[in-house]
Amino acid sequence: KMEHSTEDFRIQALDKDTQLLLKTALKDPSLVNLEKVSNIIVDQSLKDQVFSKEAGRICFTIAQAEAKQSSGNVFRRNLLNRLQQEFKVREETRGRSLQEWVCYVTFICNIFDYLKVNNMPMVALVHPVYDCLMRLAHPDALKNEEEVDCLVLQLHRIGEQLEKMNSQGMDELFFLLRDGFLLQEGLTSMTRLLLLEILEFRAGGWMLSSTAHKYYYSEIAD
Amino acid sequence: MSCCPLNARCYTSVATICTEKSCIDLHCCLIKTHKKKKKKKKKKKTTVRLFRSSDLLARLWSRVFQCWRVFVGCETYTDPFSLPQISYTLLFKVFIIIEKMSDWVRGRRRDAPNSEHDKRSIDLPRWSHCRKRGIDGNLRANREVGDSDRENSGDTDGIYRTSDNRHTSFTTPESAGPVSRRGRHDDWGSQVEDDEMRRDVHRDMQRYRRRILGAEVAQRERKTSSGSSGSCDSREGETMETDEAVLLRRQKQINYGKNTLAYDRYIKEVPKHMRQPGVHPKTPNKFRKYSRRSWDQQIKLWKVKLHAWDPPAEVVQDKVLDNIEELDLDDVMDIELDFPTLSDSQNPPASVTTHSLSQEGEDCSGTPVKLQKTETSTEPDMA
Repeated sequence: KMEHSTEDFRIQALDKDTQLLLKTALKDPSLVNLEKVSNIIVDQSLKDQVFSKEAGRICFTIAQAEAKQSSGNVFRRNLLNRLQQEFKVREETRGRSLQEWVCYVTFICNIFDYLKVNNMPMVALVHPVYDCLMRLAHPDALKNEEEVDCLVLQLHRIGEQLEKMNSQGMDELFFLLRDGFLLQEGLTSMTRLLLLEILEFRAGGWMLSSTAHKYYYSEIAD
Repeated sequence: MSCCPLNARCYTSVATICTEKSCIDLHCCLIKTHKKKKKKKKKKKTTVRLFRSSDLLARLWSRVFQCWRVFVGCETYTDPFSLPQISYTLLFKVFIIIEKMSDWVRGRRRDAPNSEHDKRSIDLPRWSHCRKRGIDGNLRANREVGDSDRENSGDTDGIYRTSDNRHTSFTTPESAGPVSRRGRHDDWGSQVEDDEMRRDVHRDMQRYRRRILGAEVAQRERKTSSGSSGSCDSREGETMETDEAVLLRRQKQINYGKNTLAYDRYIKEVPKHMRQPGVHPKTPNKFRKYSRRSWDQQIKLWKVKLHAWDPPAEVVQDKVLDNIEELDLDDVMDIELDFPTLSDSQNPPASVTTHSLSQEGEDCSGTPVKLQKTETSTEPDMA
């Protein structure tokens, strides 16, 4: 997809002051209030789905820069605690705005994907991420294509890592998905397609066989 | 004759620990207080952690009885309240020896339930908690503890009316026990930090093992040179500290020391190969077996030496964000007891209060991370 300029590209979407703040944070974290920066990133992620998909990389860079510069972790700490606050009210968020909820899940998964501790995923996030994905796999959520889309996207990205951290959680999640695929009435064929694909994806060891890939992705020449 | 082992002015006539209010207050003061520095708070709060006196006394007693067998030859666990008269000089000696002998704080922590959800039993230890332990420190009957836990969840006033017919004033009912450190672990930021530190320590441990192995091999090769053989390093192989709890605690102390402006200046000004043992501060080796006391002393000396690299005062003036002393650990269990001589035990403790500098200088620009000071003179003396 996009290369190194992703961060710059994403930052363009923000207003001038915020752009400057984030750019400074990326270059020299000691010059800015990192608590504020983390809040801005979370706020923006909850509003902007495209941003929430890329915010992990920005967060990773800032956290790295801070650790390198002063071996501090103010940014990471505030980011995670803010994420946790949002996690606690996720059901209200979902009730209020489906889009914000989807943004949140995208963001937390993205953070899980990018922010690592000694090259390992953060254990503290494993259960919360599972909780979010489980929520997306519930019958009422499976009725919203938006949520299903988010669910399968996250599983494509971090499913394998998550399963390594806790395979039992993944088993439970896939029970729900199989049930949804088989038993739930009123799902759109797009939703069924997405579910079937993710079922095959995991069954193939988090890969699609080339034939399966052809089936799902090649355009039908007609 | 005074009866209370901790307060010479207390003249309660029973041969047990006195429960007079004034006396209990004093017990509280005897405990080395712990101030925890809260990072990045506008108001720098000094959290003074006091153990509820009843809990403290219970622990002391429980320790005394754990060691009682050794000193007096008492074979079975004895209820402290049914004890015959004890000489308080003896009791004090026992106390002090116990303190020197063992890292009982650590032992207690290991006993504590691991489950994060079971905060209550850590927050609010009870008399019953201790008394249900046998000499070996194990719970005597789990069922009873379960029962008392259930009781604890009720109103605080009711907690103490357990089966004993002791007067309720024996203990000080308080609704809020000391804040458990486990509370901290609830937030993700801290969880990840702890996780990170644990992994770092394990990584260091592997490195250290490799280093020892390397040294051993080298030594075997040049076995001709005797005399100074058997260097520390090879012996460390067998006596390496591997207890994760200990290592994490030590790492934390080291991190506090390193997280100072002085340390930054030091490592910048004195490159590694220039450092001379005895002259320059050397970070204590966390993998060697040391007693708790020895280790703490090493840390203390190390920090004192590091102060030589404190930045010049005038530069510092604006930069001081926080002068709250950093009393090594923010560990609730890490208390030290002062052992006052009976004559001066009513002296007010000097270390309980610390003043914090005005915080006008703190601005939201920038992120304060480095502490100017790691120690102050208010550190109480070791007994």
